[in-house]
Amino acid sequence: MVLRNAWYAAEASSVLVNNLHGVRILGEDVLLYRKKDGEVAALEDACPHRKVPLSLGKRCGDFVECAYHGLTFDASGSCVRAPGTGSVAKRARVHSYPVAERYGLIWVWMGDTALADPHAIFHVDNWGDPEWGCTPIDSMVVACNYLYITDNLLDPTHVAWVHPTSFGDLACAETPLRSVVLPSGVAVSRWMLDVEVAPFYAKFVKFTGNADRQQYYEVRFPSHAVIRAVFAPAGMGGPEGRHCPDTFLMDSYNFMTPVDEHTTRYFWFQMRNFAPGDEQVSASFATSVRAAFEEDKRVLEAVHKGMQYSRTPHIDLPSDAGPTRFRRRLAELIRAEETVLSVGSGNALSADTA
Amino acid sequence: MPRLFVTTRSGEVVEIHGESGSSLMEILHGNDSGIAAICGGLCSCGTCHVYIATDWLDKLPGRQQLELELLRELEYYKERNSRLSCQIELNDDLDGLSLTVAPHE
Repeated sequence: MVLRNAWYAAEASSVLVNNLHGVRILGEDVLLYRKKDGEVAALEDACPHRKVPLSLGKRCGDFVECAYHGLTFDASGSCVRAPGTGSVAKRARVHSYPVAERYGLIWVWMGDTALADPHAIFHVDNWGDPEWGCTPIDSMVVACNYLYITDNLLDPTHVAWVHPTSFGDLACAETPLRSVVLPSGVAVSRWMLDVEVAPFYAKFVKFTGNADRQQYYEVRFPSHAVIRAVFAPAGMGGPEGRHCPDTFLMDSYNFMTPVDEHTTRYFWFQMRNFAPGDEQVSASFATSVRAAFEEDKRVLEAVHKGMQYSRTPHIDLPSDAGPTRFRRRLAELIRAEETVLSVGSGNALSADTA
Repeated sequence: MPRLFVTTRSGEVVEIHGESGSSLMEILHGNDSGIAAICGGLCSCGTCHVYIATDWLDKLPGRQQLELELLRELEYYKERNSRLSCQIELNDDLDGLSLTVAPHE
């Protein structure tokens, strides 16, 4: 169950130099490569002859040559050369995916090409602002359905158990959560007033003593999240809090790309409102965040396996309210998309028989 | 104790006695009426959805914005009769209230 008419993060930009690179997204194999002008091309990674992945072939300027019989395709997916085959080139074609590069990531549109609008790519706040620091893109493969990760990213409660030595403390377990449905997704948040600063953040906050902490978790369709962490000196935060220069802000961006039903590629980076050029801070962030996400991976892979068994039916907890609302809305969008598709193919059939 | 007449998902009508001051959700949940009520009454999940019998609608307090937002997200929302049972407190005036548990989403 996936939304096709959406942009998905396919790969970190830095991976593409002059290589051919294959990735799998929504069960489809996609070839990525950089043209001479630096622009990225994304093609169906299968030569139409015997479906040999084009990523096994050779890049020839802006073209790619199949490793089997030399059929050669341009970035639009047209075959420009089919050695010794007469007119074969005219009917040989691979799908060319709309592609864009943003925030150090390559984004691929998996749906109807006519609907691809690069403006719809997830918006990252403060990107390019010299006051803000940013960690490099990192990623991992998680052996679970992508919706277990979106569930997790709408559930601030798990941090008390899954990340006790980094992001969590017990206030995270006890304070009630509010979920809100937004046009673009679902947000879950809470303020925890006058609490200790959790271990990961304690290294970076500029003030001493307790903090007013906000957890703000927002997941947007199809599967992209921003997790905002706010630590204000105690008394300065809360829903009506004032701006304070010492307030720590970290926005963690999380982009989940379904590889298939059972596997997800998970990309992330963090933006912070301090130490913009400090590589040590970036490295420390990167290490801690990766360690925490390894903790998530361990649990989520177990969830994926565990949910296949139902000797005793599973139950939901109050913390599942946000995830439930997100899944409900996403399912609606997917249904709407499928309806359009089936109406579309119905028309095609009637046109054929007419 | 006020009585409720609850039509379950299997179509059976059961009579339940509830404590005044409790929410309908708590009473239905306590009687295994099939509502999940996963958020526990925070008006944030939409899983305690019921249809109130039309005759009784006027005797209930109106729907707040948040409840309405959640209800409108639901596939089985009915404009007139849908309510989240966590938002309705039982009292003696509601003795005999008749409602139906909405289908599972």
